[in-house]
Amino acid sequence: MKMFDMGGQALSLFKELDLVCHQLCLELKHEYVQAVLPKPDIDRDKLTIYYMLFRMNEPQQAAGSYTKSVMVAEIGLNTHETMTCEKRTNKELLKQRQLTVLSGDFYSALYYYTLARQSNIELVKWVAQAIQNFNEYKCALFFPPVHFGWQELIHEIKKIESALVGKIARQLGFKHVVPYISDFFLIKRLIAERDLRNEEKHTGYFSKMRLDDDDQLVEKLDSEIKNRTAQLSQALKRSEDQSELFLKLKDYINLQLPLTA
Amino acid sequence: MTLSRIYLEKKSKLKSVERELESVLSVANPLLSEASLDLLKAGGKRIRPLLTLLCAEYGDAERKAVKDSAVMLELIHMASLVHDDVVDDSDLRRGKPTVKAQWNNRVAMFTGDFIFAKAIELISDVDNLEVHRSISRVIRDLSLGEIDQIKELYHWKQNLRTYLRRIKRKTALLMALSCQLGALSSGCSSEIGLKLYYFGYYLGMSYQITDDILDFIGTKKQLGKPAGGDLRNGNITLPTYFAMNRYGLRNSIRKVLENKNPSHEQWDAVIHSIRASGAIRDSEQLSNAYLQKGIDLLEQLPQVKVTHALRVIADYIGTRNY
Repeated sequence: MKMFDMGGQALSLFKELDLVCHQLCLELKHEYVQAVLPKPDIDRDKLTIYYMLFRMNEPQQAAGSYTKSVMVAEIGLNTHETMTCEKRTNKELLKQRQLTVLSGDFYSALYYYTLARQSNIELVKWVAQAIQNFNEYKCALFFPPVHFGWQELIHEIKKIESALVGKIARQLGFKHVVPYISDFFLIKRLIAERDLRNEEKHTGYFSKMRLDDDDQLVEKLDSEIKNRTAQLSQALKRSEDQSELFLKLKDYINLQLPLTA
Repeated sequence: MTLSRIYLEKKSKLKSVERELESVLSVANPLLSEASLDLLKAGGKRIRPLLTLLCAEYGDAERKAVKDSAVMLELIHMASLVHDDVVDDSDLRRGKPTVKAQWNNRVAMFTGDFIFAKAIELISDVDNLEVHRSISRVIRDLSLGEIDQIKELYHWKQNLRTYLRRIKRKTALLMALSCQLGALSSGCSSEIGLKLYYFGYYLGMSYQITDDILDFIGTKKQLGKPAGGDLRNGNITLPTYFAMNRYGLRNSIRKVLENKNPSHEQWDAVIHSIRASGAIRDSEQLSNAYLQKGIDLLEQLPQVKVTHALRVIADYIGTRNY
């Protein structure tokens, strides 16, 4: 793994990320919520890519703090993603649903709180704008104004998966890496959807949509994952971009792609 | 001066806030736009924007940041209502179907998150870190208050302090912020902002205690649900707390709260006993004490027309019966 130069005190990226991840866990900690709900998932790939983006222009501590705040916002949205719709009478299940709403709100409030304390209101604005887009895309996915074909559906999912990270990358001046990041997170989501489907779990995107050929979904996902992974690897290989960020991302994605697939 | 007179004098500014709310919630996605605008059109007292507009009169009330603050506060309130309806499993709000009833819980999540993010985006243009630190702390505490409320459901052992902290977070902080933001966004000093913050805080505490009293003494027609709804849902509010401290009542209330499936008759009996216990009068006294603290603070502010208007609002909160 490449090292970031920290004025002679180089720490491996891996160690820096461990520290950020540890601090993020502390920030998310709420004793009562965690006694009722499972601990929120931390997407280590998102954490890494945010950190790489912020680290290009910021010292280690600031980059770590911004990464934490943006991850908290992501986790808030992901928490609401697990919302169920069926009627519930069981008190414990009801409590879980109530806390799903409220802990998601808490995380959404926390990103603003932490960024305001770091005096970074510009980043607050970017995240707020990205969250609006994210929710617009979600509504469009689950309640499409017109019937989506397969590729349109995949395109919508791609927009959702990189709504926040894509926005941050663009705002920081790294528009050139957005297509690669978006493809990477789309592939991750498709893999997660396929695995959920295989386990017959109903918490993924596809279980909430009506598809014409539902019984062939796993095969279609498999094929999409394979094609998209090959395309992304080729695109990374072919690119003539020699920027520091691109090269780091290329290394990282190339390392992670076989692991995710 | 009366409350209706205050609303009348602020009518054009409140309308301008309303137009701005409509404009920011009219987005390209038809579902999100419809869900948000339906909620907006269902109306409400708009007490928070009113407080912001009034408190701004201690400074330059024509500043753009004043309107932005008023709009932002109403958006935060609206976002919390959409999510609260999922938490409370409510199908109706102000007589209209809730977002979750009209669509589903997920759409309610999208809508609430969208409105909340809109509020944050709007206020992010304000170039004042003190404002951002204050707003973000209040928003965080609001959500912590809601979590506490779930945590403390059916916990008959909770003390007065727990209740007061809960209503502070649930209601008083947003009212405090409404007043403080009015002052800060209109260019007032931090000192005036702080006094108005505490005025709003005391007002909010009194407002919520009154709400909790009305839940016991209101009629089914006034409340739109049977009296004692909070207690029936396991939410121990001030009248119940005071009643539990009276001889003989603690055990009967505890038994119903611990019963997994109490009958309507058992609930009705316990609610009747709370009403008859003197707990309502004690709660009113505490509500009035908070209100008086707010009124006392008004004396430390410049004695101008708006100070009188704030006094009228305080009096209204002290006497409201719906």
